[in-house]
Amino acid sequence: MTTHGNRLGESPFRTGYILNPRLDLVWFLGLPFLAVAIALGFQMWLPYVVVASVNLWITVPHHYAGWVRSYGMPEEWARFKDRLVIGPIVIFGLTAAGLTWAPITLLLMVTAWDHQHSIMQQHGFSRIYDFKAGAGTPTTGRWDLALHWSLYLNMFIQAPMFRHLWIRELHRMQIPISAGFVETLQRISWLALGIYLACYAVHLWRLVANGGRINPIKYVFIAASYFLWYFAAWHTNSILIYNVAHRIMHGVQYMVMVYTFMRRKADHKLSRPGFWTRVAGRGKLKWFLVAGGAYAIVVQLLINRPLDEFGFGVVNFAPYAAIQNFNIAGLDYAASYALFAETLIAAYALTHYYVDSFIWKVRDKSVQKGL
Amino acid sequence: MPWFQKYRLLLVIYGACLVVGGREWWLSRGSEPPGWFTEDGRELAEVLARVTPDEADTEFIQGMQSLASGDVEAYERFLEEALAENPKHNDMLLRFHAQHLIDTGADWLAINQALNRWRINHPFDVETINYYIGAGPETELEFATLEDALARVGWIERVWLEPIAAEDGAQPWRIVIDFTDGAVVDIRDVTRAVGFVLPG
Repeated sequence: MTTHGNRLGESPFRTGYILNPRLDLVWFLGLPFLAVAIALGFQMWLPYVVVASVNLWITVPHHYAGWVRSYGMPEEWARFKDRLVIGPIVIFGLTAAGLTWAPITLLLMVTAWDHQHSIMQQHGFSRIYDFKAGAGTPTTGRWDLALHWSLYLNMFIQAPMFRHLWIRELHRMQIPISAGFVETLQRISWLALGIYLACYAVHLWRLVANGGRINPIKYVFIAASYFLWYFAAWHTNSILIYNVAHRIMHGVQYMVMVYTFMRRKADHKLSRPGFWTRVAGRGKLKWFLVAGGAYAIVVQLLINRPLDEFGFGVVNFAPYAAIQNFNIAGLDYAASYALFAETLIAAYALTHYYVDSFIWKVRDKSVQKGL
Repeated sequence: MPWFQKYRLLLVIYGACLVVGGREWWLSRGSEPPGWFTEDGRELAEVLARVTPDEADTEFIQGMQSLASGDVEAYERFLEEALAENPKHNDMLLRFHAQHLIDTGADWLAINQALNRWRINHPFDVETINYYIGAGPETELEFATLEDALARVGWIERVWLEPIAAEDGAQPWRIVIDFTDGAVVDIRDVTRAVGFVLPG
């Protein structure tokens, strides 16, 4: 077994971080717990529409981050050009076909790919932890991938929230299954997970015995990630909690990773400039975030969904109630939105009046230089 | 890199989809989709009740099965248990609960709570609610006046009036209500509008 060998007597543990100890604690190790706390708060105090809001504030901008990383970096474009062009054409075409001829299959495929994508992201971060620490063996990546699949599949089979979902979808696909089959599958799943964890422990033992190193932070990260998934799917019956917590963890960690990656490349001038250098690099984080928000607005308008969904069910264009005592009639949704538009127009004008009141002073020496 | 290796992820995913989707398409040509109230639906409810017994969604499906078999008491018991778990995600459950309260002539306060619980959690849901009246408008003027009175209610986006045939020879009417997004609902507005136009 080839290893990144440690010298005799050295500790088998070597820590390495994706960003640095402080930022990793926030974004990779602590975020899952914060995300669960936020989701529990949302479940308690806010309506279900918050799932759409989290989608708009986090999931859609995380797609944008991916577009910048893939289409906005000239070197990535040159390397993967055919896949970046042909891939979307195939995907859009087959999605339209799926909606027409096999909608249930399309829904299942989107869901299944989403789960696979989530596993692969956490696996990717695990790999970075080993890479940064110089830990593991050439086979550890595969062991880790199988560990992620084992843990995730077990959750998917066991957690009541997911169990309900896949039993119902199988029924819709006219594949009825009995309660006995489900219970047997659950027992097999536990057994398979137990056996795999034992095998994984043997892998770690052999790794250390051969002078290899282990990055403990990687396992803290994996534990934090699966705490979120298992807690949200297992210990609550709420899809809201799972969706909010998962989307916060997945989306935020992805955006942090993409931005850090691009910023390091920009700071050290490791890649050719392109669209990405407009939104990444020293002092450009705000533009990265603003562009992500703008992208979310454009997407929302394109799919003809209300902008209210940004408002967590708290801020919206809900109709103004009639004020009977003053004989003011209530406003419907369209009229309420028109009132909002009028407010914007008036506020723009007022801001223009205000700003002009102090930027144009002929007695101002700085202004005089431009005249 | 050979093309099939380059596109292997797409090939695997869409290859699987072709098999599963082809089966779905084939089945959809020859049979009706499995319904909740068929024998298959009943079996599904039994499986879910055994493997996910405390889920609000399961209790809702059990409740619907009870309602389909005419056991209103069991339906209400299941719904009560499901609602106690605060299932904000299940728009169908919340809507059916509100509709059931309207259908059974529940107190306006309970109806308002149920309707607003649904609308607050799903303010952009396009589904409608039916409100039944024993005797509908008898003249075109009454029809137009009632339609106008209902259209003036702030939380109603659109409304339809239609007679429905009843077994006992009576001719009740149905008011189909489409909701304004995000509006607070007060069912008394409908009761008032109906009472104003059709005082009998």
